[in-house]
Amino acid sequence: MADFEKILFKNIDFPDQDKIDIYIKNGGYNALRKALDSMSPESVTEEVIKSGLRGRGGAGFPTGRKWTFLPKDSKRPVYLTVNADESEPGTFKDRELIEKDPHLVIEGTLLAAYAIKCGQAYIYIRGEFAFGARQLNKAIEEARAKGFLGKNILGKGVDIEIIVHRGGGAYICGEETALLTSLEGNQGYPRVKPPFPAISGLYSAPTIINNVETLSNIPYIINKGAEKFSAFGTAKSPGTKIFCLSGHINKPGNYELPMGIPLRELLYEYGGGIKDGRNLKAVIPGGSSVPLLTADKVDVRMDFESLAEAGTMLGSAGVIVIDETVCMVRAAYNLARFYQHESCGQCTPCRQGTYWILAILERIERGRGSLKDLDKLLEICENIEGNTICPLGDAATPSVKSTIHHFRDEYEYHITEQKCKVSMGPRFE
Amino acid sequence: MAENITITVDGRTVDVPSGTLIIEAARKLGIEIPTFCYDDRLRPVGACRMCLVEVEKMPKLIASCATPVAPNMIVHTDSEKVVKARKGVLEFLLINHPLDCPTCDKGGECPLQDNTYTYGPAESRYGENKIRFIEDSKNQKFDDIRLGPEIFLNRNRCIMCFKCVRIVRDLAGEADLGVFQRGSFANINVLEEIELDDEFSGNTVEYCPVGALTSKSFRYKIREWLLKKSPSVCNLCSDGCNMNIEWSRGEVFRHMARRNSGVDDGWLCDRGRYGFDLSRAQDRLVRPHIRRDNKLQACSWDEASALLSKHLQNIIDTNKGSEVAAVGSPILSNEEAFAIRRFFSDVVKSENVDFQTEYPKPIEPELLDLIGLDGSIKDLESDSTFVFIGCDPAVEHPVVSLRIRKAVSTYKAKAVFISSHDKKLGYFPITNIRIPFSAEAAAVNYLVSRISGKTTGDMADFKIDPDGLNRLADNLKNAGRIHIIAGREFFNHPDRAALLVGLIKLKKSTGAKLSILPPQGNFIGVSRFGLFPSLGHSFENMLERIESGEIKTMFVFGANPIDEYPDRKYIHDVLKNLEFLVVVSPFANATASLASVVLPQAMLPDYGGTFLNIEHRAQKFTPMTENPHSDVKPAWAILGELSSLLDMGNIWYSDSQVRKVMIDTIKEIEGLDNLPDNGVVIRFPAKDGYDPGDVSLAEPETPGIDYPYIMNWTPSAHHHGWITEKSDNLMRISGKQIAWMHPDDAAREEISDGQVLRIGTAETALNLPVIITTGVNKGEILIVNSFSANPVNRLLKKGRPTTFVSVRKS
Repeated sequence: MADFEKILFKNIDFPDQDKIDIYIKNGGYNALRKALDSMSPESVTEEVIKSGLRGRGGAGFPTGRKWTFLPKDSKRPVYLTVNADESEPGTFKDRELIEKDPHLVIEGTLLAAYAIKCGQAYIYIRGEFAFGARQLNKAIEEARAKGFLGKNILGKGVDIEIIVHRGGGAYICGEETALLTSLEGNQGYPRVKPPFPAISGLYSAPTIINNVETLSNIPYIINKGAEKFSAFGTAKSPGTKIFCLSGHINKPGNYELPMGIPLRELLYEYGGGIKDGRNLKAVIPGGSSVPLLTADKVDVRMDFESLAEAGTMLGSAGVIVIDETVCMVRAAYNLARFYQHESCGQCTPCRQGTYWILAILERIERGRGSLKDLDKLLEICENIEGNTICPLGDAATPSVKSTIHHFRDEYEYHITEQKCKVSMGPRFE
Repeated sequence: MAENITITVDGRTVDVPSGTLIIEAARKLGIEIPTFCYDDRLRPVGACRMCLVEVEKMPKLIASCATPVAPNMIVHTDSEKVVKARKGVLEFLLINHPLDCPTCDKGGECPLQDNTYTYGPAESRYGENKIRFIEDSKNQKFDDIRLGPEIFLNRNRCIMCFKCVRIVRDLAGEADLGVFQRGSFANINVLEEIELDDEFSGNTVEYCPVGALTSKSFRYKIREWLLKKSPSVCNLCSDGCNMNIEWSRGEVFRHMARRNSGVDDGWLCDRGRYGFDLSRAQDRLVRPHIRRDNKLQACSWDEASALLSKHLQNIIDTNKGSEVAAVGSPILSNEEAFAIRRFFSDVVKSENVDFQTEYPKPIEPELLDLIGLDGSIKDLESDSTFVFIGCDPAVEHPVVSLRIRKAVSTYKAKAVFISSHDKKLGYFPITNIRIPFSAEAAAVNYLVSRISGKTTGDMADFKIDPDGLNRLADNLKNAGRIHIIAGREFFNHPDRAALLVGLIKLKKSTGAKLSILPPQGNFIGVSRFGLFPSLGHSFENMLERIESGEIKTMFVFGANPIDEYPDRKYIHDVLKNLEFLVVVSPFANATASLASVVLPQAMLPDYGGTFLNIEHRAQKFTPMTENPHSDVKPAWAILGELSSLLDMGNIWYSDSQVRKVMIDTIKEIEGLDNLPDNGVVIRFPAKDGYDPGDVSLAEPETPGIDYPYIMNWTPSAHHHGWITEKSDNLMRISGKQIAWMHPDDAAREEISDGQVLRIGTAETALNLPVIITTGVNKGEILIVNSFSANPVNRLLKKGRPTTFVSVRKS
């Protein structure tokens, strides 16, 4: 792999990096100072567009271009909302950034707010991240004391406030419009689009929603310039990416690596190989919502385009490693239970479909399935996909579809033999 | 925004204004897209996904109910993809639906049933257990839960269209209904100790697309396909909401909305909806009665008519018409009002007719032109500032208040109430400016002086804190489209003349619209079509003439002066002086018990006719065609028969025939001949430039030491007047009669919340539970009226709409 510079995790393990003095000593808030001193909001946006930075929340939409969708002459205030509701199974990158380097997140947020001329930013943080929320609030107060945040930042006449809002622990509130509804104080229901949040978002005002990791890239881009940033990674997926390794791997954890690194390198070089020397069976490369890759696809490169080509997605880069001891029916059941539990219940296909999928998988797990169930499952998935208000419906089906597609024999064994091909047999009696 | 957009739906193009939803554009072409959660009057949620359509160049199917049209859109509503998605959605909706159609009240009129027939899969592939919501109550298990006094919810049938939640939230402005849990366990419910009992709750049942919400008064009674529908108009307030009376074998089962976008927009309030049991009420009079041996005894129509015609013949022969008086009421139809006037002036030769039995003073003839809504009901949505004086629209005009709520919630209009007690429009933002009871005239005069920059009088005399009024005056100076609305309390106001002068000046100085809205049913109709005392004595004068012996015979049509007139003892004593009292009434009541002859009157839906609502819209109501009450008759039929017995012409046998005579007599009402479904607004020529001159304000009264509280009363949203008390449904939902008092007063009297009080004058008292609230003024007691056990008019004295009372623990 080519040489690269760590953008996000450069100082992550530096002692007391969460304290503002250390953060500044390590070059922190220079980007903010530079932007306010010598850059207009438009040129900050321009730089981010040039960098090719793509959203790290899952969809990979170009960040700078997203900012330009704001109406030019809105009479309403513009809001920036930072999505820190990191709930995708297998994903734990934002959490580490927030807890260990909160000022990086704050500086990125301030830069983005400056670029889109927003005076009030919100960080919507997952309810369970109590420590992270404390870290952010502490960082905000430290930054305020130093004049980086609040009224008249660094004497440049720019006012930006940041409020940290803790969610109630619902997966759906990581969906951007549900996040806004929740932030407004309502039940976390996604909204019908259009209108898109950039036109009518929080409190019906133009709103930009960015992921924590996305914004944490911005100080580097401003400091070192877009070209330096886009030197890493691939042409269409520039920069580095935090990969969250979990599952049957010897060294699970967060790894910041350039985009486009081969999966094999990630697993065997950085991850230290499969646990206890067992064989790899499958990998879910982008959080539980993407189709899995079978072991033979281990040479795929980890960037948006290559993974799309391989029939899956980079998503949140939550890499879940599955070894040969795992029953894929059981794994699908496990994920189906998650999506059934987290479906908000607003629109029909997701509300009823996730329940139905779970009921059938449970029956198969109990050894009471029929072969017809498999096609039925695929058809239910088809009826959910694309027909829901938000992407949760689309996120619930890949685990079911890809396990049936690649491991149909395991399902059939469950059904015909009433026991499990891999492990001890059906888990339910 | 005005430019049009052309889109193509299923190969046909349509031109619609930008912002139109795809589903509406398709509707314009006659293409019906199936849906459950969409209602053009509610904010779209796009939840049911039944309305998915394919739009070319869009990767996914989109919800046509939530997506506005875009230029050159090409929409397919029945492509293979759409058909499959619809089938999928229906399959999903049905997996946890109990499919208990044979026992479900919605069966036959159920959108889920209908759409499944049309678009759904023929067979179920679902073999798992269905989710079942079961309510445990006192060791018994129920599918249904009680949400309020009238509404039950079966969550198993629910398909989560959120219509009920939106109706409660966006129309009524309440937060009573909500969604609990998530995913497939998401269910609608109310919080513990909250009742779904707002004034529009019944609409949730009517618009529920499945049988999840049911009404206590209708469920398990009859199948929808056995019901016949008679188009009708509600007359329990003066809004004139259109409805269908649904009945079978002469029994009314329910009222359903009949959408008239100019009036009700398809909503009914609970009073109108659940008052359907009135025609079968226990107290309903179905046979004539004659007083024999000092007791009212049932008799035949022949007997009763013979007695009446003999009595009238005698009067006619001796030319003593002036000894006769007739009293009508706002429950009468236009035809009845007209017939009464014609009969008494042509046949009996008496001009003594009136209908204002509720007011201490009759309204001035000049006021007639000012009564009614300025502009149309729909126009209310575009007014930007409302000033309510003596009017509580949520109670007096529930459905019309929806337009005001919409103006406030959607178009950010301001609503200001000048009143002695707090009023509200759900949770929508309004301003209450509190003044002492009956100080409205002083407050309005103060506003006028302030706006025109004149010196304002000293408000200390009237105990008015001028801060709120000053702010209002400043706002009114710059506000556009102001609408001043006076209501029930205006008619009862002790200083009505001064208040009227003030209102007219306020209208002139701000360029506002001024509406004076009577709350009772056909008030405007009966006053316009004959019952206004233009030549003879008003009701107040009639009573004096009865006392002095000049009037000896009285006919009462649909009224109940003993319960209505603001001095119960006085009216009782006066009516006892009559030689001959005829009461024509749909119900037995206190006045009828004094009568010599009682005749059973037809009411909705026994007969047909027309009403005028607050915007002078004439609307037609029709009878049900099978009626078990064969002996009940409308006033025109009774009087027509008497005329024929007296051989005097004026023989009426149908409402349309009466209408023909009316049209011949009154020029302006030509349209009455052939009324369209949505009625016709009649323009009566107004006498312009009515200037009542200046009136000095009455001195505010101060209470004595023994009776330190001033008493005021108010109607309730579900029940107002003596008639609604006859409805079991309405009494069930209207709650108990209560009184309100200020915490300071309660503390001084050592009274606690909920305690039963004896509220009384020197002669008599009412015993009522009290609610302690800062919503009323110090020194004032507010009582909910119209309960016959504790009628407020027992405390009142002739000529004064209010009185001072003392309060003791009972």
